[in-house]
Amino acid sequence: MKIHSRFLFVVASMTLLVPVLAYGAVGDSPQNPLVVAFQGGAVTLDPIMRSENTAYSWQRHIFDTVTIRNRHGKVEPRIAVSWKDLTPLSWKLVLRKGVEFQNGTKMTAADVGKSIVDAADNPKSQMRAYVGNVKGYKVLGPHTIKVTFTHPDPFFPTHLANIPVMPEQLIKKEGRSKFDQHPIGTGPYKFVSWQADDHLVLKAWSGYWGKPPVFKNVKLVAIPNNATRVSALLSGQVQVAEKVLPQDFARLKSSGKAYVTVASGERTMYLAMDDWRKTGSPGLPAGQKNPFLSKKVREAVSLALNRKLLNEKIFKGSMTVADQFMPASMEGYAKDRKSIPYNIKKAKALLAQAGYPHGFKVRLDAPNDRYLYDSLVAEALGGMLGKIGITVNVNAIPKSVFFPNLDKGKFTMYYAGWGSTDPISTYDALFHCRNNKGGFGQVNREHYCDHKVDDIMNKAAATFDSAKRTKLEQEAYRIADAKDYAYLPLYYQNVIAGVAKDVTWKSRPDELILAWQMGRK
Amino acid sequence: MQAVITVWVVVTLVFGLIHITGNPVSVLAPPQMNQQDRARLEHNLGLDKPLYVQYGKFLEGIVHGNLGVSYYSDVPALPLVVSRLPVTVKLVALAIGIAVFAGVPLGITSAIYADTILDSMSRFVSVLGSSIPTFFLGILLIFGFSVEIGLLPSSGVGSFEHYILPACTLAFFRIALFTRMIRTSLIESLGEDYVRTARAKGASELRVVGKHALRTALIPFITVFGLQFGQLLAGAVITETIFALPGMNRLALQALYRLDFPVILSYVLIVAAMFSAINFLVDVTYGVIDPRVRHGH
Repeated sequence: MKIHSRFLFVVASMTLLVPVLAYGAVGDSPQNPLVVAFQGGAVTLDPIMRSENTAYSWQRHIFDTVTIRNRHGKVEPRIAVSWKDLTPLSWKLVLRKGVEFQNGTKMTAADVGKSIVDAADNPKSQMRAYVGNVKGYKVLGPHTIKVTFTHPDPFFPTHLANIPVMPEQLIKKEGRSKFDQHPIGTGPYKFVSWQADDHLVLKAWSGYWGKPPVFKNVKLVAIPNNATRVSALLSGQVQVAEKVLPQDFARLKSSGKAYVTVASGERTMYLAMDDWRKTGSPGLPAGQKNPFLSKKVREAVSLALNRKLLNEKIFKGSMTVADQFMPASMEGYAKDRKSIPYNIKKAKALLAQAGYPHGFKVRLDAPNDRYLYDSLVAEALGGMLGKIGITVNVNAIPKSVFFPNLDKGKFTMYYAGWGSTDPISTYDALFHCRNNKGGFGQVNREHYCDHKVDDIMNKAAATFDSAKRTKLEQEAYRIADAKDYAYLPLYYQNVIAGVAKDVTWKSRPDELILAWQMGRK
Repeated sequence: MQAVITVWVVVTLVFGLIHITGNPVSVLAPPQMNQQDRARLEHNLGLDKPLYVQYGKFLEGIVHGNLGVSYYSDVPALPLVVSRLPVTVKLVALAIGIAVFAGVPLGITSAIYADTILDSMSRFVSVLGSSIPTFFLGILLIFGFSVEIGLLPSSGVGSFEHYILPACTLAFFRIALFTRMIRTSLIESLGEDYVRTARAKGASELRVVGKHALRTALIPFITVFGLQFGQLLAGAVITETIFALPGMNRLALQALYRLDFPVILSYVLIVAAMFSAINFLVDVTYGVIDPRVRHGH
């Protein structure tokens, strides 16, 4: 009976309510909240259990981080208002006064200290990449703590942008799994309800220390299908939709109902080549020796790639062409470096000099469900290399197959992306000579290894003077990616969102989408 | 007993297959994580143990109704999948309802008025229904009914209206299928001896078709209906994804992308159990409808 009457309502609304539903203004009530649509949803609200951007975005409405990065990549105060390195193995943090948790308890200096240590020590924490060197903390005063380290970390303030402040006493009292079902932080919004991977309902919290958010009622939802997400934006069901595809830009603009916002991204998309196996590299024909051991071949591959064309043809120019591995918003980026040359003639000559006048055959592996237009990019790269005689067999596969095989070293040449917060951790993970015990080179699957560059970077990792450190980083990357061709940077994956015309939102390079930074036009 | 063996074979096959795919830690661990932390993660999830030990633990878990904890959300996997079941069941029930209420009358009309204009019209609908891919129809409905007319929501759940477009998407192919099924078997049974006998007795046309012919024509239909019901419960993946419904199929698809083994296995277990249950119900229904099955041995 109920269903029947509802159905009648739908039929009736067909004639009566059409204009209301289609052109309703942006709402802000529990029944009609501001809706932000993501491609996926957060799988957990525990703010240290999952290091991934959607989880970060959802959680950071409830939890504050100790610091935050601004749209140019610079660190700004959040819970910590200032910081200073006391010795190479200790940092002092001065904390904001008058901060409360959403259950009314005051945030103490110990809460911040314990949160940092929890992120560093908890066996389930995925934040160890940021604070793994933390040894402990000491409360110096009601709003000051000292954090001590096992190894120096000049990027500690940057890393704190990933560390949430949690009510550690409450978590201890009620247990993590119960806390995760009803999380409490110091952020601008209070938790109302949620379903993992699907939606999160939030309400502005009156006791928030910062500027009250413009929208009081917010719902974050997951809409996996790209066409549905854009449709939901056009039909007024959602106000902000992330990862709008370049193919939909024109439709959004011509609709007059929404606009597109693009930020230069921090994820470097690159091409990698086996740099260690003399023969038997799995992407080469059996018995073929590995041509990529020759620097001339690596340079030839780089010269054959028309990065500008790739961006224009596949992305309608919406990406930023890479001129070096480090993106511009990160320390270590060298402004004086020119764009990477494209020169087919020189590439062919280099191949001939290296002993491959007729090229060779190789398989290019790529994921097909991980990055924007990933399989198209792989096809295009294959085509470009074909022009200098390298016959490429493109193998685009789901990420659930791609990454395990990548870890097993089953690829000779592959296309993937890398995003991080600083040049040191990028170097240590991707470029540093592999050293399992030291925790170096865990994603250096092609075994690039240059001890001289490692030394420069190790020096940078212990330098607290940022000008000196930047110089060292620039020097190291200049050798690794411009001289050694350790990886071939292609483009930075930009951050794209579609926004309803009466809402203001600008995409952030760190890919976070924060409703508390949105406004009305 | 047979059902238990079926379920065991299915989950064992899937267990083997997903472990061939690769190490979940490669997808689960953030790329920034170093080797020691990765090893620790692998150990915490029990993935460093030999496969037969993992399999033994898995079977032991099934007996206790515990299939482990989701690698991603850190909650028990079986309850997680069960919590997503109602959305899927609502969607499928509505879809199959629409399909039956549209398909069966269309099929009967087609059979009675075989080779007339009515018949060709309903056959045209059938061909259309079986040739439009689900994802295409879904997007088409969204463009039409939510973007252009602004009448129905394009995604999510929350009210009955949210289910209309996805249910219609799923139903369309089944309308076509049911129409053709009913038409074929009804035409066949209308030519049978007992129908002629009934007509000779002077029974009304309504009684002949409704009571005698349709009854036998329903038997193959019930088989297909049961199969379709099961298939939809486990096959609404595309529809749930396009319309962003938090059903168990979308959950399973994501689990597969993420190699979240406990969730995948819980899903497979539930689907296998549901299939067995539906098959059983279909068998029982045969007996109710067809006297030959009821009295036979």
